[in-house]
Amino acid sequence: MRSSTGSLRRSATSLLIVLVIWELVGKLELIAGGTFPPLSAIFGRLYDDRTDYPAHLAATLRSAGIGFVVGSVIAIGCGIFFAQFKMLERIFRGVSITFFAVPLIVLVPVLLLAFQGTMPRIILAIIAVYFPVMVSTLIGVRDIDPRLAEVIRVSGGTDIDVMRFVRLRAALPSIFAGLRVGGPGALLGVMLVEFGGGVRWGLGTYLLGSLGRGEPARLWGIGLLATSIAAISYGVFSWFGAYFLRTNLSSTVSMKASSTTLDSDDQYTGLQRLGLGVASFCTVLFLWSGALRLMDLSPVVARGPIAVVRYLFTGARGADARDRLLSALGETLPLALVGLMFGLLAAFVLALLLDLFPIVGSAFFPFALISQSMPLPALTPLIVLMFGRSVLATVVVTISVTFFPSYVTIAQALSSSPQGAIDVAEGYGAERLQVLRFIRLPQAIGSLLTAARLAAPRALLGVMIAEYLATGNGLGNLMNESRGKLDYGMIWTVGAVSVTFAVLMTQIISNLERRIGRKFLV
Amino acid sequence: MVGEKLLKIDNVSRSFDLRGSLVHALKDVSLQVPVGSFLALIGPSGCGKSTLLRLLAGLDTPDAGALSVNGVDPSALRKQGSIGMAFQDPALLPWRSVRKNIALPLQILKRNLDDYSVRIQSLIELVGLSGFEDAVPGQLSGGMRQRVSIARALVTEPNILLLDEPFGALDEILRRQMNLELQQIWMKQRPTTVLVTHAIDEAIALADSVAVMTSRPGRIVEVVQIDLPRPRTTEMFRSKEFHAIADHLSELLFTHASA
Repeated sequence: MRSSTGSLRRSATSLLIVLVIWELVGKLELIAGGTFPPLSAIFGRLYDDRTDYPAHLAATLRSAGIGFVVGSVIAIGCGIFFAQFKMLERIFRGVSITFFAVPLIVLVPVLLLAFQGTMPRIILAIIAVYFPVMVSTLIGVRDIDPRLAEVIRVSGGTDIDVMRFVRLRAALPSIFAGLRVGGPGALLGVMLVEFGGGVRWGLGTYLLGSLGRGEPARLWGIGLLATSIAAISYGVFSWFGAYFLRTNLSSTVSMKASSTTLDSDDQYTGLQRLGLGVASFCTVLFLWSGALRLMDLSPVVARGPIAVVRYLFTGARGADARDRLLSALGETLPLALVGLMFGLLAAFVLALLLDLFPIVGSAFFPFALISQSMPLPALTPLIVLMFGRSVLATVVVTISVTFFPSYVTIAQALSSSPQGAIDVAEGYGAERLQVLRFIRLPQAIGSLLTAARLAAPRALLGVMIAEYLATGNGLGNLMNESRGKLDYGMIWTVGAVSVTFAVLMTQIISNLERRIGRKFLV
Repeated sequence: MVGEKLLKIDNVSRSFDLRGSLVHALKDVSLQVPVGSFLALIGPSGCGKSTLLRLLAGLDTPDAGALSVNGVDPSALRKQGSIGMAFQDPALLPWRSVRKNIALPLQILKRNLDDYSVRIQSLIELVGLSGFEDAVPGQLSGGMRQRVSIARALVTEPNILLLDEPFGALDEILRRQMNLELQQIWMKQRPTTVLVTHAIDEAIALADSVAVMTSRPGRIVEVVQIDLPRPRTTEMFRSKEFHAIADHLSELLFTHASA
């Protein structure tokens, strides 16, 4: 967005205002009886704990760093590969969407069963990094100005030359946009495994240990530290991305505004689509079973797709398992939907309001931009501290993980109306409100669905983390309980079912999005 | 008996499937011009002139018929680096400097860049961009970028130069200026050149022969020889001969467009 010195100054001013209000509210114990400490207390505590931090920080950063690097290399490789072999991309689409939608926390018990030491943390970080980096690489490498490719081919070049001289370089801004999301993702993945216990060092371990002792100032200190790390990595990759984007622009070569979605299936007939769908679904199941076989685990512990179906339907305690699963789903899904809805609604309303008051809007936007990449689920203990171990806490967590990314998506759509259309309206004397109503709003409707698609899996993740850490309800709790009872079948079942629902939610929204998109595209 | 060296287009047809209906972009097009001459293709939008140019560039293949220059087919010419091409959009790599953009075809052909530094520098001077060697496209005006793309098309000393409305996006004044500069460059090197254009005056100013095309299906109506002396000058744009040819061409274009 517009990043002039003016908006930078406004952002700095509003940051200062926020800090002052925070200090006052904390000092006067206005929120939740002192669980919201003033900044001075948080920093004081951070200083007192200074000898504790290095070991925790080092453990977390090491796993997150390894996971980030390995995950990025795999993801960039896959993105380039998929851009060249479209059919393979389509067949692996199910795997990609699964990695996008999976509520990471359901993988924690599974990874802890299968691996020792820091491996579970590194693997979850890799999984968290994979999807955003793979998709942004794929899109960046694929969507180049076709004339640049023709220049290469006319000069006697091959597809490899096009890749070497154009695609890889043109994709850099997009790849960095993916890395920018992947960095905080890796941190989140590592902290989630640390929540799962079993390790002595790590920010997540420290955070969880401090939750039990009820020390707000320390909890906030850890939360803010994790947030700053995420924000710094976000900032660094943003800077690189912006640098490469600037050097990719010249006013005649129009870099096509890159689409955020994978290819649609419009080119295929109904039957072909069905076949591709089945193929990509089977690939997921095949990889699941294949991974289990590779890890060489006991079949009691490791359950493949068939074992899960057996556990639920033909096993001795199948009926009981189904009952527990359904009642947990009944608790989790409504909360996820409610949280998602409120998060989207709040984002939409705020984006509209701030569009009418652009000065406030441009001051708020950088906050939202950074906040969307914060390891918000890792802040769950703070929210639990303030709102208690209640349903309210769950909803607040869910709203907070969906709000920021949705706001960013919608605000960008609102501000990207074609200037020509706005000029026409203003030429007829339209007021700001009318421009909003006739031009910006209709354009932003589609972005509401895009925001919903991106936020839906996060909503499910938010609810499950709150359930797992705090409220003792729903799928998150069922998973945790099953771990304690060594009920391996249920652990895998909860994982499979929650992935299924997350994928269903994104697919339904993405279908709606496509239908509406087709209607509005000229 | 050895025949004259020719650019030959022999009964070429090319059609496209547009949402289920077949569009004949080119139907049975034949044309011959001597190697080393300058041919302009002129016609309304959709008459297949750009398609014909893409076939000559080896970027596309005909459904029927054949194209060759001196007996060699386009895709073989392309791989030898014998073709230089410039488009309406300069299509420069935005992250490369002027010098490196011009060097791109040499890199693709895996030639040793050190051997070409003098040639690149003289091309930069030829297109009037001395002092801008290290500028990137974003720092150049539209006309300057277009000159870079023409220098890039010339860097391999191509036998064939293909120009797809290279000045279409420029204003009238700049376009005429660029036409005369292009003529200068062409007279020095004499590559066989095919220029696609909408503009009658541009075709007359540059070409030895102008092929007038019409649409649905795309075909050549008439090939008009331009016997004006070279170098052609700005005064010539106001001459009687120039206007006579322009009138003839526009008559051809408009008669067939309304038919």
